[in-house]
Amino acid sequence: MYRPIRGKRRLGLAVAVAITATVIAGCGASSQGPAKHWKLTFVAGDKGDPFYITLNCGAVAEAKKEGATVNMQAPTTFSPTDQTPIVDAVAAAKPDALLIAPTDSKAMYTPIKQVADEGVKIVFVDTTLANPSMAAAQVHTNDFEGGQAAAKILFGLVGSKGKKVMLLNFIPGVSTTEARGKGFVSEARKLGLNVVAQQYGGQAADKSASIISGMLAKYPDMAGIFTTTDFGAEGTVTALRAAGSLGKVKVVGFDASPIMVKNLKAKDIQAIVAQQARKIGQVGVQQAIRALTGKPTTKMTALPTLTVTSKNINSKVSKAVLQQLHC
Amino acid sequence: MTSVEREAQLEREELEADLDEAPTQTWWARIVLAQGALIGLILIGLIVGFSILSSSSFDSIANARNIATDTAILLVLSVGEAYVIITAGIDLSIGAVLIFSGVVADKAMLAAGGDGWAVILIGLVVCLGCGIAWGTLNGVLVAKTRISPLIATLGTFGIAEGLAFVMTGGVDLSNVPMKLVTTIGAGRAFNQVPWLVIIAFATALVFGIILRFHRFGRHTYAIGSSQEAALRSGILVDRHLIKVYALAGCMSGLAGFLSLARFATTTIAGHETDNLRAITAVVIGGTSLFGGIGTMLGTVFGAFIPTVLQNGFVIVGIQPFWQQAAVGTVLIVAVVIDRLRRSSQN
Amino acid sequence: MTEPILEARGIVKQFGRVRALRGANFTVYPGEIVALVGDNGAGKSTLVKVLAGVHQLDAGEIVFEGRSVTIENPIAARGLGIEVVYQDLALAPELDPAGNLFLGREIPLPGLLGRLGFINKTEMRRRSDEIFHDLSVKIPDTTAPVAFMSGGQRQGVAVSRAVAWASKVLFMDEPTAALGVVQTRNVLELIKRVRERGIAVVFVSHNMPQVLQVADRVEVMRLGRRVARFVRGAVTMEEVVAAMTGALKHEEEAVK
Repeated sequence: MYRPIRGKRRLGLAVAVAITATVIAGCGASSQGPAKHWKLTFVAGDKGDPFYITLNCGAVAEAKKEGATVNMQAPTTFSPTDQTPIVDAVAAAKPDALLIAPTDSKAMYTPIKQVADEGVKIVFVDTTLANPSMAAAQVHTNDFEGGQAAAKILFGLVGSKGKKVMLLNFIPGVSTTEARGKGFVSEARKLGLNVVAQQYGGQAADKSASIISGMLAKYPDMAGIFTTTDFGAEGTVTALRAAGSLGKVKVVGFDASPIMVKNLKAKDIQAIVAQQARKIGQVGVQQAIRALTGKPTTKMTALPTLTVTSKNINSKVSKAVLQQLHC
Repeated sequence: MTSVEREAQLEREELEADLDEAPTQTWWARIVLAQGALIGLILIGLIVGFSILSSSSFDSIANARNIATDTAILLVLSVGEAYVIITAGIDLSIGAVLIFSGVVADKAMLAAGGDGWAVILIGLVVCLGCGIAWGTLNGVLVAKTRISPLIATLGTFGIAEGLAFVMTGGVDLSNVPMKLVTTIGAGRAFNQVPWLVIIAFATALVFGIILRFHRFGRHTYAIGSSQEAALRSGILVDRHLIKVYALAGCMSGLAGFLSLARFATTTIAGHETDNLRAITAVVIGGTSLFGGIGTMLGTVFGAFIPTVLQNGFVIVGIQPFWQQAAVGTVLIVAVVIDRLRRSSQN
Repeated sequence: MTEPILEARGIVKQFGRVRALRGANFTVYPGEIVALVGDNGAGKSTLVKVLAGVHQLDAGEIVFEGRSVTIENPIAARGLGIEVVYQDLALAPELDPAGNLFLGREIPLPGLLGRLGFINKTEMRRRSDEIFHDLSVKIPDTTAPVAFMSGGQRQGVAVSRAVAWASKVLFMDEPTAALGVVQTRNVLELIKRVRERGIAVVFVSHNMPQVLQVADRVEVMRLGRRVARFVRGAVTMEEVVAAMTGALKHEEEAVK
């Protein structure tokens, strides 16, 4: 006679289903490795980034050789506010080693230290901390050299001294992109190019596009652009297309992501300075295993970049640096 | 049937209908069906589930401490957002006010110079002051003009964030006194409970008590339930709304201060989705977007659920994208359960 | 002859181009039940809102207990002892009956806590239970939100709220419009009980049979002014309706 009983039963069922569903959703996710095999965790800088995905592929492949597994996690945005909770969870999960690309050279110190204090071996890949003393090894691209390589190829593309070029960078304060920028500017000036602007486009392609449009308007005789990220390259191509200057203004990009490769093949950009993302992952895992097995590690490995143009894009070497979205 | 008999019959039916529609509840049913209690159940379910799946890596004091610390700042934001949503309003500007306050406080502490408690106090006052200022602006816009809270706070979100970027040139500032970072940011009371957690819980407790037992809380519920009724009861609705939004702003300022203490930098790029996260926490906790209903306890549970999910998923090894899907699912499940609970009482 | 407790003299009220009240008069004596009737658009609701302080009159005079007064807002009206139960009840659905009864007038806790603004929920519940009991308003669960109650119960809460605070005059706008047979009867009984407490009740209604059942006097409005006054027992329904539609003018002083 009282309606509430039916309601309460429905309610109880709903709650039971909800809890069960949550628990079931978690099932099947726990890794079931045989004992004695190393468990590694890789915490990337952000989600959905082909660079880190490729790095992870290299790491996973190398780990498999040693019978180890890699669990990849990534924050939603490139920020310590998002990366810290993940690192905190890693401190509880206590893998054997942590490969990480810190999103802030200072703010990430405390959370990563906490992980190190649990006895987890730390390897920094890509970015690093201001105080890296806790790490067994650091592996990254020689970004300064990469910036220099970009300047060299851009000089070859624009043809002569005195030409106007500009730098479109990422976010201020990120060690890797800052080094790329510095390398580019110093080499470009040495070669006699006129670096008229250094801008930051952030993580947004549309912001990069408006910056480039503005710069083209200000310097109608702009000859070349070096952009340090693929967001920047996307925005640059958009702006050049709108201005009808594709092909006339030479573009050198960084990181051979699938989009960049497409742009290169379409001749919208003329060269890519590529990091060896796979190799970074490989070496990172090698260093971690060395630390775990008590062998001496290499404190700092700086891998050189590779310049990819439409001429050498199909060579085996170039293929090795192309980034992927899946392994 | 004569007309008299028919009238009598109708009378009886109506009487029964009256009685049927408002049944009394047993005490245990009331607890179970209490707002927030169900979400608490879900939270416990998650904790138990993750403990089992992770072979107990999940349940350690250190991990609990981390989860609480990771939730602290979001909880502070959610306290203010809860009040706003209970008035049937919404505040989208909280993340921007957070970073704005942090930026201004950073500059103020740099100008003041030094590393003592006086400087830290200056930072706190500046943060709260900025927060209250933005909150008051929000309140005035909502109460005095005809702009909806959604639009008004979306606007102030853009302005505050834009100004923060202008003031910093897009680069994070890190002139935070070391003392602030080591004491409030990373320090613990009795070497066990992080100060961030204590401050966050104290804030939730104080404003939870006010919400439940104070006239201010009562009027907040009334305005959300029926602004007309509140007006006609002599409640100064405009003034109250301004105070509520100012409170949310104040909480954003406090969160900005705590964020500076924790990360030692202004983290201007990391707060884009704070508003949605706080709203999610508040709604998961049983507060209705239509106003008039909600508890602080539910909000506390609601703030923990996304953090627990993310922490558990990372430990168990689930891919990051599933975490977002999971939070969205819990949100929908929580709202559906809330609906069922209300209709089962009706 | 007793003095009227509340009188409206020549009230004019305009909303833009619409003249809702064109010199309206109204009289209510202490402790009586007066029905204010009229066709749609006659100005009944507007007159009530002016007397309750929701609207401000453009011209005319309000006399309360023999003195000329200005009623600038609902608080001022309440201060005089005038309360209104609106057609939409103006209840907060998510609050419980006690919460609604004491909305805006919450009882503080004793001592320091009370001065800081903390409210005494137990006392509010106790007093509202008392009022419900006195007025024979039946509410099975006084801790449940008002939203879960039937229309009749909600009406009971709204009326109890007004009666709890009204000391002189209670206005009710279409109190039985949305109610069923039994609930209507309850409300009409309630109105009588309110009168027994010495409070004058003015209720606006469309329902002639109810009006003649309960009211001591009837005042008829048409096109923004009073056109007739009747005493119960000395009038038929047809005459009232005729006055409403303008077929009859009967501005006779109703002697108590």
